[in-house]
This record gives sequence, C-alpha cells and structure tokens, in this order.
Amino acid sequence: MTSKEEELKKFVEERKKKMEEEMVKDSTMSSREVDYVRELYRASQKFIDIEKGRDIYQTMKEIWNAEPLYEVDEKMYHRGGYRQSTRKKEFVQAGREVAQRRGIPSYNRAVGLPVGQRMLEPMPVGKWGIIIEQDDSHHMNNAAIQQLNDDIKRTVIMNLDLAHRMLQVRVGKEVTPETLNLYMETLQHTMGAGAVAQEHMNEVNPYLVKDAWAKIITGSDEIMDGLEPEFYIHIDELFHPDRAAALKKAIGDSIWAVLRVPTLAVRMSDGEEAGRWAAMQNTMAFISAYQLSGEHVISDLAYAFKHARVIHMGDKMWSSRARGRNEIGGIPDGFIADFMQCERDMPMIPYVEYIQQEGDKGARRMMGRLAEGISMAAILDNTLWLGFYMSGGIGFSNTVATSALSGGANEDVLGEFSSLASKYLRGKPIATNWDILKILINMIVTYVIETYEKFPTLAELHWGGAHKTSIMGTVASGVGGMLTGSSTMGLWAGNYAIAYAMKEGWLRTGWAGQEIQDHLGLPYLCSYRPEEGNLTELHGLNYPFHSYSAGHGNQRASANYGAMLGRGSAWVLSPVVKVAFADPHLAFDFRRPRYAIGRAGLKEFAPDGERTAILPACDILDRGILKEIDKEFPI
Amino acid sequence: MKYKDKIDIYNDLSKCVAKDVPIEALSPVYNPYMGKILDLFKRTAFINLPKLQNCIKEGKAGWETSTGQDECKMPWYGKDLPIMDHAEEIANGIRDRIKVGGEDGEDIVKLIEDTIVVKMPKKVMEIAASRDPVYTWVMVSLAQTVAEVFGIDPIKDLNTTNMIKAVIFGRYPQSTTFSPGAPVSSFLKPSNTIDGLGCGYSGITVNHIVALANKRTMDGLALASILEQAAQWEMGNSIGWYERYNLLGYAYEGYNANNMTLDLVKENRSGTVADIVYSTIKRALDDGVIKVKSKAASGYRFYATNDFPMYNAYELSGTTAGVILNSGAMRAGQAASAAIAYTHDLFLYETGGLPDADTGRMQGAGIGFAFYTHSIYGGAGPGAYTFDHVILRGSGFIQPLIVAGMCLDSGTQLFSPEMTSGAFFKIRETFPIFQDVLQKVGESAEEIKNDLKG
Amino acid sequence: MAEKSEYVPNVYPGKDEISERRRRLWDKNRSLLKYRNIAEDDITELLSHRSVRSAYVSVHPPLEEIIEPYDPIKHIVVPTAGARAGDRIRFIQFSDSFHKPPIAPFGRARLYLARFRGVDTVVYSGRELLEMRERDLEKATKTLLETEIFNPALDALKGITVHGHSLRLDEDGLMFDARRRYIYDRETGQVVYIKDQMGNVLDNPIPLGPPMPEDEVKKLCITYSWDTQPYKARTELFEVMTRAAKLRVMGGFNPESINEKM
Repeated sequence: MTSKEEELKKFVEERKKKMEEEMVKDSTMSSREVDYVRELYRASQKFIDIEKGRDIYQTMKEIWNAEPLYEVDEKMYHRGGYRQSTRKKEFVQAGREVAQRRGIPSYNRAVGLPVGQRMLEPMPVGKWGIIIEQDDSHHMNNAAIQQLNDDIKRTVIMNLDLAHRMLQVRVGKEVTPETLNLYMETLQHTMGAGAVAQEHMNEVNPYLVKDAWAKIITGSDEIMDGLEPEFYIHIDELFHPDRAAALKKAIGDSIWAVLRVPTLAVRMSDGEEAGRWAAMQNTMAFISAYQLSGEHVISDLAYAFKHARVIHMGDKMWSSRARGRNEIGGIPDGFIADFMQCERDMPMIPYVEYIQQEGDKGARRMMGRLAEGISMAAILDNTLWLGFYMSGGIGFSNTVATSALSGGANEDVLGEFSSLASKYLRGKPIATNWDILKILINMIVTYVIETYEKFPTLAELHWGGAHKTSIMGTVASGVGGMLTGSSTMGLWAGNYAIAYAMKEGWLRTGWAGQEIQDHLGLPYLCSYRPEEGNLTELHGLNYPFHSYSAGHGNQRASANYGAMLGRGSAWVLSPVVKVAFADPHLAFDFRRPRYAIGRAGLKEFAPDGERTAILPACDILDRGILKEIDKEFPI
Repeated sequence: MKYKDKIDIYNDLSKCVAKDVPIEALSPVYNPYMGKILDLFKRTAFINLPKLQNCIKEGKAGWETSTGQDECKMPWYGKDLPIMDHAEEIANGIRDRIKVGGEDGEDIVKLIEDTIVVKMPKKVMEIAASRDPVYTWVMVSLAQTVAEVFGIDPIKDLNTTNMIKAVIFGRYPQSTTFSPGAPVSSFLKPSNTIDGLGCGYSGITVNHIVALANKRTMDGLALASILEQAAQWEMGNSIGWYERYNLLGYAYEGYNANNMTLDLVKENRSGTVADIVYSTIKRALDDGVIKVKSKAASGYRFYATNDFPMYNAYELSGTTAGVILNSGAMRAGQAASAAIAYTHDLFLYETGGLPDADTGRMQGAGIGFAFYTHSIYGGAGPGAYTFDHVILRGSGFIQPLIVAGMCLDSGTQLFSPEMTSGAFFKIRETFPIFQDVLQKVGESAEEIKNDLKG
Repeated sequence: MAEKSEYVPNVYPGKDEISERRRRLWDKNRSLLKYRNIAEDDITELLSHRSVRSAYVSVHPPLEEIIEPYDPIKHIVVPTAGARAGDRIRFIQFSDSFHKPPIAPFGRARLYLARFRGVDTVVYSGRELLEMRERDLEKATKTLLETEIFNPALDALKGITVHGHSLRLDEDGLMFDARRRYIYDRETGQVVYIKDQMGNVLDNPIPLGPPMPEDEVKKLCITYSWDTQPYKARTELFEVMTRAAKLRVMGGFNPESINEKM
C-alpha cells in the first residue's frame, strides 16, 4: 500500500472511532439542557390560550370551520370532490357548454387529478370582510388584477419645463395659467385620440377611451392655484400634511404631466405602446394649445417628450426575455413601492417613534399598511410576472401570491411583533448592523415558524413551501426595513430568513429550492460587480437572478416599503411616481389593493378598457362608465 | 508578482506539468495558450457548404427550430447550385474579399473537407468595436462569392439572388439574430444577442465544449474554465478585490492545481459526495488554510480562515471532485446538478458558517440549475445550456462543472454532444490546439513563469 | 508537510436530539435503524418502471462494450452497477409531511449525497426527486422504505400529484394524497399501497407497515418544532447561520476581507 492509502485508511478508522466516542458523549443531553427544553415546552403549553386570542386563530376558524390548532382534518376525502366549490361547479357547467357549442372538448374535470379531495377552502381577502374562492384570484378571472397591470402599464409621466422653455426662448410665447389650462383641456381630448390638427383623421369612440386623461403634478401651490381643479393631483388633500409637504418640496416648481393611456391600447399592444401614445398625443395637444406649426422647434419638443424628460414605469428588458418599456418585468422595485399608497394618511415619522407614540394599536396600524401594500407586489411578482409572463399562465404561482392576500398571516405576525416592539424598543432606532439586528430577526422568524407549526390550518392554507417562503421573506424584510430604515438591511434579513432560518428549521424552503435568490442575494447584497449588488430600490424583475424564481418580489417590496416606513420618508424612489399613483381617478385602488382584488372576486369591480361601446347589444350606462370617485377611503 | 501564491499544475494522469507557477500565469491576460484559444474563439467562422447547397436547392431559409428546421419552405425559389463542386473557388473568393494587406502569415481561409474555416484577419478585428466581423464579413463575402461563382444577379436570376441572402442570413434583420444551425456559424453568439456586459465568451453551449474536449473530463473542465474565466475578466468580475479569488478559484477548479481535485477523486473513488467534502475540509485544515476557531458546548467546532480566497479554491476543488464522482459513478451528465446544488450545505454546516463555494453563489445558481434541468419551466438537459444562461450566470464557477458532468455521460442524454455538437468533434481534429488543453495550460504557465513581473 | 490535524467531521451543530438525529442520518458511518422488510418485487411494483422480474431496459450498451474516447478519469471513478450495465435512469419521488416527519426534503438531499453513489436529486418544498440508474434506484429504495426515515403515515411515494405535505392529516393520521395511493387498513393496522407511485392501481395491495406510534414520531422527527425541540433554543445552529449570512455578505463584497476573527 502506498503511504497515501495508509494515511487514508488510518484517517477513516480514526474518524469512526472518534465518531463513536462523540456519539456516546452526545447521546445524553445534560440534565440542564433537558430541563431547559422541558421548561420551554411547558411554557409553550401555557400559552395555548394566548394563541387562541390571536387574530389568526379567528381567521382560521372562519376559513376552515374547524379547530385551527388541530392537525387532523376528519372530513378529508369526504367533501364531494370539486362539487364542494361553487366556482368549480360553474366551470364544469361552462366547460360542458363550451364543448357542445364549439365541438371541441373544453374544461373537463374527468381528466388529470381528482380535484377536491381536500377542502377547497374559502378565501377571506385581507381584513376587508370579503370572501372569495381561490379561483377568483386567478388573474384571468380577476378584473382588478388585470387593471393593476393595466394601470401601471398605461402610465407615462412627462416633464413640461423643457417644453415651456422652448416656447419662451425659441418661439417667444408665454406660458400662463390660461395657456396651461387650455393645454390640459386639449390634452384630455387628444389622450382619447381626438384630432386637433387635421381634418380626415380617424377618431375613437370616447366611451372606449373614457380612462384616458392627464393630470399635472407639481410641488408649487402657485401653479396649482392657477389650474382648474380637475387638471392636477391634489397632493394636500391626498396625503398627510407632513407627507404632502415633503413631496411638494421634493418636486419643487417643476411641472410634470402624468398621462394615462387608454387601457384598451395597452391591452391591444403592450406597455411600450404607452410611451408612444402619450408622447404623440401630448405633442399634439401642445402644438394645438400653443399654435405651433410643423416647424423645426417641434422636433425638439418631440425629443423632450419622447426621450429627454419622460419617465416610463419600466425599462426595456434583456433580449432573452425581451419586452418593451412599461411592462412589469422592467419596473424598478423602488417604483413598485411608490405605486403603493397605503401609508398616505399616516404621519411621516419613523416606525419606532410612531409605535412609541401610538403604542400597540398604532404599531399594528402601520404594520397593516405594510401588509396591504406588499400584497400588490406579491401579485405583480408571482401572479403576473412569474406565473403569467414567464411561465405562461400556470395556476400555482397565483396561489403563492394569494398567501399575501388571504389568511392574515402577515398582519398577525407583524402585529404581534409590533406589540412587542412598542413595549421594548422605547422609540429608539436600531443600528443598521447585522450583529444587532440578527437577534430581532431570529425572534420574528422563529415566531413565524412556530405559528405555522401551531396552526396546521394556516400551514394548509399556505400549502406550498413557496407560500411560506413568501411570507417568511416578507415578514423578515419588512421588519428589517422598518426597524432600520434601510432597504439593504431589510433584504439581508429576508435572505437570511429563507436561506438559513427557514431552511434549517424545517429542512425545506419552497418550490424547487425557493432559496435560489436568497443564497445569491447574500453575496450580491453589497457586491460591486456589474451584475450584482445595488440598492434594493434599483433591483427589479429584469435583474437576472430575480427574473426566474417566485416569491421574492414581495420580499424586496417589503424591504423597500418597510424601509420607507422605518425611516419616515414620503416616498421610496421617486416622489413624482408616488404622487402619480395617488390619482383617485385610477380604477385600481392602489391604496387598498386587496379590497379591489376582493371586490373583483365578487364581480363587483368595474374595470376600464371594456369594448362594450362597439359590441352588439351595447349597454353602456350599465357598465360603470361613470365611476364614482371615492375620495374618503376607509382603510 | 502581485500575489505570492504559487501552484503546481497536474495533468489528468496526475503528472506535474508546471511547477511553482505564480497564479498570474493562469490569468487570461498572461497565459499565452489561453490567449490563443480566446483569439481562435473570437476570430473563427465556419461555413457549412453542404448545408448551404441543400438549403439553396430546397428553398429553405428563415427557420426558427434548432432541430428539424423544417417549418419554412419556399421550394419555388430553390436552385440547384453545385456549391460543393466549387468549394475551392468559393474559399478563394472569400479570401480575396476579406484579406488585409500585410497579413501575419496565417492562412485566413482554409477548406477542410466540406467546411470553409475562416479566421478573420487580426487587423479587421482590431479596428472593430465588437467581434461582429466574424459574422458580417464572412456572410457578406460568402454571398458575393457564391453569386459571382455562379453568375447570379438580379437580371439573370432575381429569385436566386435573394435566396442566397436568405439562406446565409436567415431572417436577419427582421429577427435580431440568425437561424440556429445556419450555414455560417462561429464559436460565440452574435454580440447583439448577449444579455449583459462582457459576457461574450460565456455565450457558448456546454455540449460544444464537451465535443471540443472529445469528452475528456479534465480537458473539458480546463477549456470551459478558460472561456468562463475570460468572460469573468471581461465583465470586471475579477478586478482588484476579486482577482486573486478568481485566479485561485479557476486554478483549483479548472486546472487541477496541486492535483487536489484528482487526489480527492482518487481518495474517494468508491465513496460519496459527502466523503469528498470531509476530505476537502481535512485537507484545508492540514494545509493551514482554515483552523479551529472555537468549540461549542456540543463539541461542534467553528472554523475560521485568514485566507478565504484560498479556502474558496479548496471548496471549488472539492465541488469539482464531487461532480466528477457523482456523474462518474452514475455516468450521467444529469447528476452534476445535484452535486453542484446540494454539496454546499455540507461545507457550510461542517465549518460553522464559513461561506460555501463562491460565497453562496454556486449554491444559488446550482439550485436553480437543478430545478430547471428537471422541470417544465424552461431549461433543457445540461448539455444544451449556454454558459451565460440566466440560470447559470449567477456564478462564474458553475459552467465548467456542468461540462465535466457531460464529459462523463455515457450516452443517457437526448440532447447529447453527438447530436447537438457533432461539428465540434470535427473542429477538434482540425485544430490541434483543442487537444490536451489542461496539459497545454500548464505548459504555457511554466513557459512564462519567470517572465512575469509584478 | 504541516502537522496533521485531528479532524473529525462535525456534520452538524447542536446538542439536542434533533441535531443529533440529523448528524446520524447524514453520517454514512452510522447505520439507519431498520423498521420493516419489503420484498424486492413489491419495490419494483411500487416504482412502476418495469414489470416484476423483467429485464432492465438499457439506455446504452454496458460500459465494457462501449468504445469511448480516451479519458483517464473514467477509469478512476468506480461506476455503479446500474451505470456499468447501461440501465435507464429512473426515479422515485417522496413527499414528506410538514407535521413531524422522520425526514424532510433537504434532509433527504444530504442523506442521499452521504449514503448513495451516483444520485441525481432535486429538492422541492414538499417532495424530493431521486433519480438513479434503475437497479441502483431499486437498491436505494429498499433503504429508503425499510428504515427509520420512512413513516408510512407521514412519508409517501408520490411520483405525480405530490400536493399535500402541508395539509392537515386525515382521520387516520395519514398525510393527504389526492390520488389516494395508500389507505389505512383498520383491520391490520397497516398502511397499504393500493396504487403505485404513478397512481396506477396495483394488482395486489402492498402493505408498508403500521404508522409509527406518536412517541416514536416525536423521537424520529427531523424538524425542530415548538412542542418537541423548540427551534428558537438552538443556539449553536443560530450562531452558525447568522455567522454564515454575515460572512457571505462580506465575501461577496470583498473576499479578501474575511478574517479569522469573524
């Protein structure tokens, strides 16, 4: 034998011997440790009654109509299969009718797996008292989810300052409140493809484009005073005074126009259409209002509106998943957090100070806003991006998104944490330092883990690892962000929670190792390499490693939005985008996303972009054309 | 030299081919052999004459499918041009068109059996901002030559004039790129189809490398490492703080530094992947790369290191050995992903939290790779992946391991190297540079080791 | 050469019973406790890849008969029996309950890599795929079904329709299975497979033993749990994890910045 082999053999033997010794040593726990474990268990048992007092207990009870802490479902397999669900029964009936009419089979429950062996549970949406079925939250069945996508895709923001300078310097025209109002009035006409410059242009039925309009965003009270009230976004009315002041200061005297391209246009084409439509119609309105000709200066105008001073909601994407601008894959995460409007009426002070002032109730209120907001990011990421754009419309990632809609796990856990935080943090901010934060993150993560363990009904509701991963990341990132005001710290906490804490506790994460993004996320967190690192606000679904696995858009949104609440600022990435989505004319409710989605599940949501005006048997006035604008939202 | 680290390179027979070479000698910037390989990859185009002839004859152009290629047919435009009979003439025509005065003695156009191999003149490539002349110059000159040789012009034969263009260019520029398997090809993708800055050398298919290495595992590893390493350099991923980390990483993963990878494989040739992890850590401990930091109540030892780049290189070597062992035992390329994805937890929980290979990037990308090579959500068998695939680009150390796995496959894959990359087996025979890659990397490092100055 | 260390693998941190159990499962030098015997033919039936006692289907000729290009590595690594024979690569897929399972997906991956050779595995949240050469797979399946890591109530073969790991248990304490491949036979007290892993009805039901009793379930549980070994009390493990997170961030920022004090 060579010396190497001898060495190896010796090594193996030694190793075996050592292990045996270690085994004997390790197999008996010290009496102290046994006591400790027993004590913990005893303590846990004592708190069963407290568990019953939790919101989640009540929610689970309502959903399952069974004891939420009990891990056996005695009625399993005995619920009549798919027939237990009204929606499934409707689908079967509809599938049959479709098949008969078209002569090709359609939806058919006789193929594939037998659905409904388990309970097909109802889905309460958020805290809005709305109960829908799981299928109602599929993006194809839910008009609000479609409108969420559309309202983002059809938004383009253009700055008018350069155009105004061009008018003044090169054309010698004045910009006055009167001209600005005329321009805005004309713009409402051109946004719906109304002609202004030429005879013989094809025009569009206004009912089809009733959702096309434009509004001014400015921080200047003077400018706003000169405008007709319907032509600008009323920051002072829509935001808490402190937030309004901060936003107005950040926007300053600049004048921006937020343009809403008709839903039908982006649905017929894609998000890229929005920029083109907006630029063309805006330029036409400008030419008309200021009486410009096809002169040289208008090419500068076109350049300013199409390129130099325009904000698209999303960038172009890499060629392997190429899409034009204003598609959800290209939205920076910071914008997604700015779309969320749930915090608008909250005072603009850091989370830890707020909970010190407001106590338990206030703490829960702010956490509730976080949970409401990030549900939108969960839909964008899981349902629309991964489930639809990337995977071609599978139902699974829809259900991952709904873990942020239903069950109230986020609120419950975050609320419990907030109660503790209001007691113990005493209004002091936490340093942005992992060695300090990790203790709190471990606390909250193990709390989430134990909640799933104690509530088998919650584990059943969030039935896949991806659902739980999604909650875990949301909670840890949100808490990390809220405590420190740092999105990077939030993301660190979220990555840690999934890649380590959840994984080692249960030896599983999500859908095919959902921790892909969390393993990569940690080394990437502060890397200076081109494809790694960067502030979470500037990530997004086009960032290569975020593009292909689910359950993490909500994590990043939670880090970003949580950090905003944590530091007490009025926006995440762009004050202009924040204000643009406060527009009460938007059909989707960016302040109460779950409410809108829930109502759509009940078929009570009136979307934009319907074609009724050009279809047979048009019944326009019954289709919610004149939508009531609800200025005082209860939340 | 900037770094003190010196290593020995061993070939796949565990014979030392370079002794005490500074790690910089394994940088694509310095190693002359690597330079030659990269130059060849960048400048070479291939013209598949039988394909050109058949497609023009059948009126077949603009396909999208990578196999079959039968969905677009315009037989009414087909023309039977005896291209093969005029191969020499066509080669000469291309040479005349692309040659630049004062060549460096290289024969830029060679007819090898039924393939014309074009190596773009250095001068052309020097003045180009991109490496696109390898496509543009070759395609345009080919079209012109064919038209000239067969006397085709818009007056005499309008349709064939455009059929020639259609076969060579496919749908370009209606499409942003060329048809897969088009008659003109190069090693690397056209630059406009690359996602991300500096990834050009990463745009190659796993099976192509396997074929170029003729399924010789350590050569496959080395060749893949040269390319991915070059991409990492081009991306800026190896600058400053990351330079030594990358040099050591590729030395141990790709070039069998100190014979460590093969030692680990040999020690555990009948063992399991976990055995390799423990052998690797033992070796790191023996070599003083890591040491015990503290002992916990259970007796669990926390390890620490003052030289993480070196420990990372050890982990990469261990992971490589793990892949070789796993794919070698199963003799299947599909087994690489399990070793790539799930070995790192073993490293991490064995050492008390020292970062796993490539500080977790390998695990993240590996888990994605495991999923996407086993699911309906995209992907393919490992051989059909390109190095720059979004799943793989998370780590620059994952690609060589997939190549190693596929080298060890004994015929279990549908998309096998023989099916997807048959031409590359032939190219290897044509270019002796692709033979004994590992040996040549080492010899080249040995040659320059005394010339390197810091 | 530097002085030899006395290296003994840690395998896993922690002094509690669950950590110890993880260490034991993932250390191939420590044997798995055998709980039941399952006939080889039954395993073939359950896997449903070939007919009982039929010849193995080959994907390529035996290695000895293939002429492969020269590669010394292929002569170093010892191929498995199935690889040598050229068997097809087939799979078994397990689903492990969320509620006190004797093994869970990442536990399987680590066990497979420690104890089996030539494995292809993918970890999901509820299931784990294991692909091997067919005869190797059958051999591994025996270990997987006969030992302590299989509780017929909480682990199941689910080749397709894997959903259900996280659901509550049925009235007999069995993990949910939409295809009802297995049932609890109240007369014999055994869990009986009436369908193979792909959901095809078996000619003869195959009993895989009784569900493990509750105390055994708790003893063999591989996951930390609030009512057995509370996760939050695992200080060693948390130290490893929080350190690992920090070192990864530092290593990603600047790999040279990691030092022995961290």
